[in-house]
Amino acid sequence: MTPALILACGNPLRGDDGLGGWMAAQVQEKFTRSQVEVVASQQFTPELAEPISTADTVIFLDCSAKEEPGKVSLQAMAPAEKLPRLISHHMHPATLLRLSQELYGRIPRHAYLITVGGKSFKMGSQLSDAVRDAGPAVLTLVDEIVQGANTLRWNLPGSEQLLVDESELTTV
Amino acid sequence: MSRTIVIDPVTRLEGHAKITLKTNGAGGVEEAYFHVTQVRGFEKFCEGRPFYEMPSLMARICGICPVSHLIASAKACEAILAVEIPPAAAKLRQLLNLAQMIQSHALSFFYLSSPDLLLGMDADKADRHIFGVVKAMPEVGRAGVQLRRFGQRIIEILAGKRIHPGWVVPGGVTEPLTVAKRDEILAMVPESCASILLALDAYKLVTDKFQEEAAVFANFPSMFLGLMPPDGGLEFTDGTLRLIDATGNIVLDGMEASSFDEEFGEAVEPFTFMKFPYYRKMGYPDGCYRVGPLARLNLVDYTGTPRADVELREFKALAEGPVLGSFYYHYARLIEIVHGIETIERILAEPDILDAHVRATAGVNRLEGSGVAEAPRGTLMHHYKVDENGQMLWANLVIATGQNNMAMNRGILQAAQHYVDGNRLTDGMLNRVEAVIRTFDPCLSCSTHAFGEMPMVVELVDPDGKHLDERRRDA
Repeated sequence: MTPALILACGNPLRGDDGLGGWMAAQVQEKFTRSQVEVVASQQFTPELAEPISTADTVIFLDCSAKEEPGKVSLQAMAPAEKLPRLISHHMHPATLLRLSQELYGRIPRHAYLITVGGKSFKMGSQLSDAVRDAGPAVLTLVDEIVQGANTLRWNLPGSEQLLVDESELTTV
Repeated sequence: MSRTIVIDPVTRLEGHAKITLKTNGAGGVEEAYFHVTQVRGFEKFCEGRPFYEMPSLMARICGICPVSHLIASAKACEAILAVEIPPAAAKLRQLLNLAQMIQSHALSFFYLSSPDLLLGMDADKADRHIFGVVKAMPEVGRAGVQLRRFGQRIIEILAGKRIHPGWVVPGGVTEPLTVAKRDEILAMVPESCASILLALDAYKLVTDKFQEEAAVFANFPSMFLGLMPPDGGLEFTDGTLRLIDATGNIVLDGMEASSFDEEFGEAVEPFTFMKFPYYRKMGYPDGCYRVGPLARLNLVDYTGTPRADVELREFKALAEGPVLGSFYYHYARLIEIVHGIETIERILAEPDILDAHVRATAGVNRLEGSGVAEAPRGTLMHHYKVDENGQMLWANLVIATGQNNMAMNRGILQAAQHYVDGNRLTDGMLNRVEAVIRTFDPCLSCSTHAFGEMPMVVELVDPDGKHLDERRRDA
């Protein structure tokens, strides 16, 4: 079983959307392969359901177009109860968890989505300062989840609520 | 009273499109149009770039079949370099192209079309997606996910990443294959074989239920085009082009990519951004031909691998000559996956696959070059002109989906005339019209790469549909 699976998403040629790949490289450098498996892709695709089903903990990393630039958010994820109207070849993390459950009968004990608010999604491979400055906080969050899920404050997978105070997150 | 029925967007395909059906006073369909409503600019904005950047630039056209663009583009560049690539590089490109074909066909069959096939065209549309398939036949869902992972993982192993890899370059590939990588791919083969055989069984269980659809889903005589290697068999990467007619007679054979423009033209219509390629000798629209899995299997007498050849015989038994019904694109796709897995295993067993010499180098030796490869959806052409310094002066791409454009438009008219009653619409009727398009698995991102003065009609109509004014821009 994979102890922790990090699924990072984003297009490296669309400004802050490249956050996923940028963070994936840092996570890969920080941890050993026995601690984490890192998969960076442009979208969360249905094929990820299989590695998700064999992980103890899964962390989805993505940039958010809705959040304030640089704001780091952590959300515990549960399988989606309601499916989107159109489903083709990319999925929300909650939908992917449900696919994992329905295809393989298993989901990770802990599932989280970490997002960072993006500032610019224009063509280009540069991240904004706001997103770049959020990198250490994201890495700290990942570290805490990987190092000891049982000691975490937010160890309640299945809850849709934001489990950590936002102001606290940005200063982690 | 006549009526216009619009299906917008057409769902479960790559890109954005809509379908318009125009009915007569009795509710019968008289006209059908497949509109591709997006436009991009690849042929134009590459002008002025160094030609050796073209494979990487062109791969960005598509996230599903970037490998096809890489290969066709690299071959066009090699025509400019006037080099022959090392044998190991040619085989490695074959592996990469087959892996892409497998993942793309798996996406088309399992994620996009199997909801119609396994659940039924009239099933509740809330269930017509991969979750519905998983609920009805979980083992088929797992097979689809596994096959797509298999193809994508091979691309990642060989080329570094699954989407937009940069490993294929003019002259060959950037790195040879290692033993560890070869063994990792080989280890995935048995499970992939089991997955595709399971999918074939599932397809054969349900296919008899679709005889009515098979009869009217773009089922008409047309020509078929595809790549053929010198020694026959199914081929995706190298070889020359063959065109056959609707009875199987060879119309053109041994055609090099450089002759494509002499034999084939591209027409434009005001209702879509996608062009309409046609065989020049028969003119437009009589020179209609189809490409892709159905065409490729119609062109060959054997695939060249044992299990796929068993399936090919069954496929050939569907008709006396070429199989004309586009519904059978689905079956052809599954057979090509079988062939792809068997061929990957065969190529990896050859000792020279580990050869370290994988790239030829040269300068600009010609000012024009063309390259061709079989993309999952059919024949893909890249044609470039450069100056003496190798700067791009001009590019033309002829995309697989575009080459099926005429057939798709004729196909939706045929299906709509059979199924659609303009006086009483049902979701099942309209889903069948969309399903005709899905048999071709069109990739609209690829096919609307062009830039420039696109044909356009802007109509001004009043709330009652009365035509008030029109502005037309012809290409």
